[in-house]
Amino acid sequence: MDNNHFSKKVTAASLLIALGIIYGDIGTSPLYVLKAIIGDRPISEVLVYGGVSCIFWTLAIQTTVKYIWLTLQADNQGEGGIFSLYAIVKRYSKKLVIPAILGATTLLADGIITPPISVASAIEGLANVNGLENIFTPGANLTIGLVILILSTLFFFQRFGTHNVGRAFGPVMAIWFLTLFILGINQIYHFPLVIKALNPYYAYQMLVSYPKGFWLLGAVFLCTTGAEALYSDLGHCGKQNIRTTWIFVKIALVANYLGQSAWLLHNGGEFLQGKNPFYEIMPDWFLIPGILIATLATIIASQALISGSYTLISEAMNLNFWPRVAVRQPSESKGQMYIPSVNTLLWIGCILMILYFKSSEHMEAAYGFSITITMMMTTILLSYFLLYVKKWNKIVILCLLCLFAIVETSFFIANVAKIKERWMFLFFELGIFMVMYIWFNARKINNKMVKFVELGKYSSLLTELSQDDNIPKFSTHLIYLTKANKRHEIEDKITKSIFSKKPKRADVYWFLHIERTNEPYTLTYDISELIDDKVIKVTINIGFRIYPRTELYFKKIVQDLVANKELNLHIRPDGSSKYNNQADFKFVVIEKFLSVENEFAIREGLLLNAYFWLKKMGQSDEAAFGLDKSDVAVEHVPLVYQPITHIDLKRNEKH
Amino acid sequence: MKNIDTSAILYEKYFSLTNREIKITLKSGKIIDGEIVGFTYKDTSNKQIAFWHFQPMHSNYFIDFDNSRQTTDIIIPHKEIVSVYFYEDNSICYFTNE
Repeated sequence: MDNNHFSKKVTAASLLIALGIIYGDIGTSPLYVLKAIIGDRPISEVLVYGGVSCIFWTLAIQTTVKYIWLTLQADNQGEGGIFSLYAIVKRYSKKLVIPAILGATTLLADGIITPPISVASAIEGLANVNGLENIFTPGANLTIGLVILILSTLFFFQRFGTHNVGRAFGPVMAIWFLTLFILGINQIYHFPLVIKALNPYYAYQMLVSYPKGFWLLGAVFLCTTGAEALYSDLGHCGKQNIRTTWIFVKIALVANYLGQSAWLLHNGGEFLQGKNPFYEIMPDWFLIPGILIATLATIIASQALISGSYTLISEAMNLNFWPRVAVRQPSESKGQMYIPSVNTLLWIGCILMILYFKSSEHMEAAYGFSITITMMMTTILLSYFLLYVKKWNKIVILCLLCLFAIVETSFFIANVAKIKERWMFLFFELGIFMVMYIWFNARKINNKMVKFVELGKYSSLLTELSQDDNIPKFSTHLIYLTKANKRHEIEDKITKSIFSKKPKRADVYWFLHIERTNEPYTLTYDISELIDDKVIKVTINIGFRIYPRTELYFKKIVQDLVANKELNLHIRPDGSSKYNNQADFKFVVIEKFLSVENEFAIREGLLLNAYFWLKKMGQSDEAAFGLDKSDVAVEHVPLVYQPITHIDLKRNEKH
Repeated sequence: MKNIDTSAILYEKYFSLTNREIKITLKSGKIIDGEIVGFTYKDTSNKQIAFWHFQPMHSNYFIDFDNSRQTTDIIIPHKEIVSVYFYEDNSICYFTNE
């Protein structure tokens, strides 16, 4: 994956890559959407044409207008996704943190239902093969077992990266969409009148006249799940590639939906009776290759969801929405990452989904709710973007907002009806939301208690300490990580760490500040020498998409300074230099814990206790900042936020 | 005026001084002489200073090296400050906070 995300030229190769990355979820929707709409209802023209019409206009309004045209404009230095959008607009309102967290939570939650529903829909197609009808029925143990096997294999191989197999994604998806198109066109050719289903009148008729027609929107919505991926993966493919490939994808999807509707009206009989119109429009001789291609497409869709979840959590960590967890780079390919804890969480979630729901039909009922919320949250953030960044006319924004509000609220209401099918999901989503909420808000409370002092006040003391040979040397170069981004300030706790009890003597004191930028790929640094070769402040500016390798960057900076003769490595001869005349570098990391001497208000107490518990479960500071353990000294400091003000302690009188 | 960070103005002015004795007038009417010894931000993403740690004149500044939490500085919310008088150049900053 190359670094240059701004100029994504449109080439055959780039279009193929976009096909492989972006459209897995939305592209595999034909496997279950119409089946979900028809369900066990009598097949009628109103229902079939109405369903297809709703699908078409949902793809037009929700996907084409909202995502392809509008949302893709909201790129943050070429990157997309809900957190990228939040990073652009957060300065305009503090309250935008709530839609950001909610949108990310539901997007992540969706990552545990998309893989099982997609793969199950594909595998259940084997029931259409002669001889396998009674073996791979939906809900059968063998079907469930095969789905679990495929998913488990997929999750297992995440640690090795997808750079090798990823090259095949584009061609496989191209074949998939061609398959959709040809199967659809074949039916349309025989029954061309189905094209009239594109008339919005049929959508209106179904919603208004068909019994409980409005509630069918819950199933209709499944056709547009995956639209968010068009935006999330913007950075991988570029706007033009996405817009160009969408033309082909949409035509293929619509052709297939129309083809399925043609079959339903002319061959479907009175009831569907468990059949899947997607497989019914396949010629018998094509069934097995078709199922194979479908299975591959769903695996690619699942892979895209998994990769997207890693990216989401990585961005959440960098924006202080998620506790630090281990992130690995499974290949040299920039942008590829693997988060073991998220991988395990998703894997367990997916397995539980398939075991609980057993078939794709039951999962359809639970699917979609989360994504309606994600889309609504994106709409809120997008409106701020259009208003404050693009500076569009307020009336235009209001009209667009009303349009999307009507559409998305309708989908939301229709999906809420399915909430009883997905109660366990709600706990999962609540859990993710609480983690993000607690982490973000507790950090704010925590940060309010961080006292900064003027570094200059301690300069003479530092110089004295550094030259005091009566104090044993702690290290040649002593480095503290500081949140202070102004040149002359550092945290009070750092001065306490240097001067307390056993003062830490060093030849050079470094204060290293990591500034996470709102741009995704920044990597620069600034140097400020407060006392020449004695007290040095360094600010490293790191983009929010980059995993910080602090020690590596620091050593590079030192090398640069030595090479430019701006720094003397200060290998002063003393006892230790007899054995080793290399300069040593030591990082000091200050880990805080809640002191028992606190008396909290309920909300603060709960938040802070939960925060410190999450911190313990997550990654340590030294690992998070890419510090090698051997060069790190960890100090534990008690934190007192609300000191106990009254202690009823009395002295016993002597008798 | 709403979007101007007045705490940054005070910060820049104060830390450019040699003689850092100042007189702060608070909304409550209280007037204190002393020095700023530290400050706290609203949060790390918002770089506005929310509180000033102020050491009143004629009290010995105690550096709490041992985390004994026995300090003599007082914490002043920035939004409570009405004005700051700088002894070095006899200038006054008025803060018409929101």
